[in-house]
Amino acid sequence: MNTIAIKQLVDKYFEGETSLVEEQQLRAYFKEGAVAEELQEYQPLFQYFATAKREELPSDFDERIVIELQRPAKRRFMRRMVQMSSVAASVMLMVAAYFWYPTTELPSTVSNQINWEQYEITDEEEAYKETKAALKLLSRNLNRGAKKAAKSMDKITKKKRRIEN
Amino acid sequence: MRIVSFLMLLGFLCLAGSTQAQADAISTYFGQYVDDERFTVVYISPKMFQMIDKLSIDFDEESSEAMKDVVKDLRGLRILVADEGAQGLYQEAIQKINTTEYELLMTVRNKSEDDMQFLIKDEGDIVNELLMIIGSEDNFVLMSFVGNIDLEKVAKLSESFEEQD
Amino acid sequence: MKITLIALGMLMSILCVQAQTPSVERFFEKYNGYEDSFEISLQGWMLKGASLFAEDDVSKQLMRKISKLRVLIMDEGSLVSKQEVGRLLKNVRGQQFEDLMEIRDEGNNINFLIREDNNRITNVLMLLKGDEEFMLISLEGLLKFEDLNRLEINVTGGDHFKKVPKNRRDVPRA
Repeated sequence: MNTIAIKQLVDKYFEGETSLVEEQQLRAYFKEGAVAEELQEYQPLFQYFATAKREELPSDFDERIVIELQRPAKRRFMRRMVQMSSVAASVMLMVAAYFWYPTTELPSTVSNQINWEQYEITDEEEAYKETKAALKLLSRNLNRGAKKAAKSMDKITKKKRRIEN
Repeated sequence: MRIVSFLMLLGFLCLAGSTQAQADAISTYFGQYVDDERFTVVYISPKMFQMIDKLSIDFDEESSEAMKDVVKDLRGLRILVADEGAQGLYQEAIQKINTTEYELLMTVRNKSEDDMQFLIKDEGDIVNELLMIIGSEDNFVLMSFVGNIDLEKVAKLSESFEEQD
Repeated sequence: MKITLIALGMLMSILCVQAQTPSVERFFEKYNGYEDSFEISLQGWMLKGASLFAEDDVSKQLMRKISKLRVLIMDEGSLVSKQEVGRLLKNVRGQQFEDLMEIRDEGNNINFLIREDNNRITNVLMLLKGDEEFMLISLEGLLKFEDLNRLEINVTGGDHFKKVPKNRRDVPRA
């Protein structure tokens, strides 16, 4: 069988559209050893199937093969791979979520229970006054710390300047 | 396959649960104190801030542009004040507030005056919450500003308060 | 896999230690309980905001270039003994800090020390010890020697350097 035909078969195989006979052909081609350069990467894959086939047939093989024939072999293999990786992925997602949000209590349930409305200021003028007072307190305190830090820096860097003069 | 989808759903739920509806530090870490009699609670709702902004009346002559600029970005203000057991509450607050969620801006430690911490919670360039925690011998304040906070505007406001005094 | 993780963990812990200095940390912790002590720690955006309050250009510039600033101010300088200061200096010198400058001025002793990594300065320590006051400033970040270059001094007498050298290699050793 020529390389182009084989290549077409390989593509068909990965589409899941090869018949059993065609798969046999592929196996035979890769088993023989005279594999074209561009197809060499597929060799291990088809050789797997080749060696797998050499195992002893179980007694209920005929029954089994009927069942298996219902689903193409490669799809089962791929599906299992996908399943395994999905499980792994979701486990990792959960682990990541657990560590990413290390809150001991579920916040949404706690905050849902708080009735803030009880303490709400309902008068606009009062609300504004309170906000202003709060912002003033915030500012004052921020300034206090910031100023003190800056002044300390000045003190030390200035020290040298004074010596210079 | 169903197990996988279930696991993934669970994972997403964990993630979703952490992005709270009421995402402020007081609700999250001090929810239990809100209805506690030892505490004075103040709450200004998003609706109220909208009203203040819409009305934009000069409630007092001193209200500056800087003040208006900050207030219009605010969506909530929550204040918790206590005088009993202030020191212990302060320690509790600074330990509880999750430093992976909140970024520490400034810490001030001073025996004779107040201990303070300023924290922010940001998502990218936007500051969603600005927290101030104050603890002295007989005064504990936990103040949470929620909104679309621009720290530059807060700095400008601080400056204007500086000048007023 | 496990070995890789352990190695990575160790590497991370080493990297973390590089930022903070244990003896400096301990010093801050020790004195912040005192009545006359004032400790401020600034990082991130706040540093930029605070730099606006600085009057001296050099400190303004420095504050904008660093990632963390920590200050300990003691109004009663005598609370921190000379021995304590000496011990701190000795400890940090053993933890990869090198002396940059030392100035004696009007009863005050000022030390500048730096720690560097890969030709960048990662930590700066400034100590001021006087009879009436004590100050410790710790800076963290990634500075170039040029940034500190502006700390020019022209001192007559005492241990000093005329100017902070541009290159690390030119720093005179004591």
